[in-house]
Amino acid sequence: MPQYFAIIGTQDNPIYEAEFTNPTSKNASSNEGGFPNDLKELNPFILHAALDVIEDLQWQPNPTVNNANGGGGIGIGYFNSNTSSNSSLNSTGFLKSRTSLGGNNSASDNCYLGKVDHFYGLSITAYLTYNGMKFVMIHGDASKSNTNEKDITFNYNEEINSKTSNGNRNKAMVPLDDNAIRSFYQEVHELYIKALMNPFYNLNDPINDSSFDMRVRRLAKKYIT
Amino acid sequence: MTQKTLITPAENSTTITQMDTSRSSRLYTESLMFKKDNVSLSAMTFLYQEMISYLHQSSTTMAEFEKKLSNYGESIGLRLLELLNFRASLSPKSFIDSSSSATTTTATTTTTSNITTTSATTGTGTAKIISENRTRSKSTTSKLANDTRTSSNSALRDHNTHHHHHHHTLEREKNLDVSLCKYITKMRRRDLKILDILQFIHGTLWSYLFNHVSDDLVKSSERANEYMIIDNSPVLTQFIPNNNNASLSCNYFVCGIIKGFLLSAGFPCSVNPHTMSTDEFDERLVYLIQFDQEVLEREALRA
Amino acid sequence: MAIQSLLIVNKSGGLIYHRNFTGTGSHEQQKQPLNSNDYLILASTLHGVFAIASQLTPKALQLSQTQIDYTIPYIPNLGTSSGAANATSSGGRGSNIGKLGSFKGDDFFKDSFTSWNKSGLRQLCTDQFTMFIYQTMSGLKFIAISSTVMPQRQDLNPDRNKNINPNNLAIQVADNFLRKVYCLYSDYVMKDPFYSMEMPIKSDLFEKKVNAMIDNIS
Repeated sequence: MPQYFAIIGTQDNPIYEAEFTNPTSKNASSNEGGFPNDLKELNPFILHAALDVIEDLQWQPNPTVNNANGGGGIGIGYFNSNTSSNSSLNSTGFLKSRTSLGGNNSASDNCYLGKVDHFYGLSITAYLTYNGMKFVMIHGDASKSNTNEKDITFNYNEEINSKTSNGNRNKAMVPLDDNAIRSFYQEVHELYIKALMNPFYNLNDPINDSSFDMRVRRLAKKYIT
Repeated sequence: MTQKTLITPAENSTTITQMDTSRSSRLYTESLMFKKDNVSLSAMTFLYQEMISYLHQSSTTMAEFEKKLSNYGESIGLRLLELLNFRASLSPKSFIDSSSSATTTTATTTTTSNITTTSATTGTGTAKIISENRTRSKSTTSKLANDTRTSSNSALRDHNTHHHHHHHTLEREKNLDVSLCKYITKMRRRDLKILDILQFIHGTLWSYLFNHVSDDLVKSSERANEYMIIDNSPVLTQFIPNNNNASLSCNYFVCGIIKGFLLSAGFPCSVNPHTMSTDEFDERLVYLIQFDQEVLEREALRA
Repeated sequence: MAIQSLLIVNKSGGLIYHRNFTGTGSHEQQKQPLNSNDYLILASTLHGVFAIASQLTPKALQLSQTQIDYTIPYIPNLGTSSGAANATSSGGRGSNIGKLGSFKGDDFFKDSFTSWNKSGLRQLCTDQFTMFIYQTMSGLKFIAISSTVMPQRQDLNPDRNKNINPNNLAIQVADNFLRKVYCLYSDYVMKDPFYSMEMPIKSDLFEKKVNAMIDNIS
């Protein structure tokens, strides 16, 4: 499935972006395995729309609770983040059951935020580094990426029409492999630290290093595509 | 699952093979692992002295000098925040496990679905296993004890250590994946509370910088946003005489490190040095940390 | 050996540091110390004499110079508080007592060393005092004036052929001591960002450390 990955700086400025396409598709069509063209240019917008949610989760004691939902009901995951910020008492009791379900104890790391947002068929996961860099990724839909563009646009329209229905969404959502995504984020995090160790690199500078890019892509291939 | 995709020449492998290895720096190949390297105090203080006299000459006012010195520290502090937190994520348990299970030099043939390779394992204790960048000394390789991970990581390990293998795509990648992530079971939590991050500074950061934890961490009883980190004998400024009115300002470098550390972690603050001589330690220094009001407000919300 | 005065002369003959240590010494030969101008003159005169002396080295001595052993043996814990007393007073890290700046261990150096002062003055004996000169590689001169009068001690031990020649011993002690002052200089003067080369030393830390060392000696 296609993925759109970006590193967003502390000032919500883009630092690095990459699109990972499915390497197994060998078709001549350049777009094969990637995002549909009309959606491609929306990716940065979708991603930035999720930044508010991330910012909210950033100071939550237990932000990871959301990914207990895994690939299932995204809608719930999203609303959880809202409720937990408003009424911590209510949400902790509710979320505790969630965490035990998902196998995340509350003492787990709060770097990987899990799924933070969704945009119709796409789910968005996020990861925060210690200095507040936001690693965000849009996970495309594998089943849809193989169909032609018309179908996709049709599907999205359909989604808009039935946006409240959870069952419909469950069908549309791609199940996410949390562990693989977490590993990917952690590896990129390590790469990012290495880039940061460069004395000529300043915080929030864009990373244009081809070596960095190459490594991120290799990690993506290893873990998530 | 990952092995296949790793070796399959995919569309992006062209960029990998075309990479100019001679030109690329060692930035990404160096391990982030802690190496026990001691810097000569003499060399460090000479450098520090030059830094200070350069800044002192290039500044017109004392405030400007302090600001510049603090800025030097800040860029170090924000890097250390990432680096030290990452290192703290490395679970020492995994190292111990790997050292205990690693037997004496055995040549094992690991056959995976695609690669056949020999990996000589030397169980010489944690030190060798930790130092991943030593994989250049070809005979020593680290063996992962974590059995669940061994299979998925074996491909990684193989091209860490071997270069004469039948996969030309991997050959160029040898030594490139010196990643520590496989030792991380859980990332260290981001510090969200003032006390948590100050504890981290007091312990980990101070140990990293000065080889000992700071001598005290005190909360001001008068003002809610003030905290103090105390160093009985500051290392960097120990040769700078006190009879100069600029001597106290020389401590702004460490202040900058603390400030940069806290700032990038989301705790905007100002840090100032104050001398507080006692009978025993006449160079006793207090780093006064004054958090911005927003930090306290956020803290109150979460409480 | 009571150190009466310590002078540091820079490579161009300027006096950059001078202290009198009176009161602790057994002999108070000089009731009235020289004024600061006198010391400046003394320093530059010494510098000149030193330069002349280095030209006056007899040819025979110059020719046979390779045979002369300039190695100064290491005299342990001279001026530094010795281990046992130190360990109790400074409970581990933190205490400044016994910490030797950038020098590791409990003494500044542990080996014998070769004197760089191969052609100039090393010792000046009068019936009032004895003066020892330690010259560094860069021409900086550390001068110690001791109240000990050498001829008296020579009379005690007239056997001049032996290695325990008190004259030699005094030089060795003085060289060890001055070398340690040089170590202090390298830490507390050279690493002071506000010190400009060749200028008088005003560091209070250097002052303190030198005083501590003098106290330890006498």
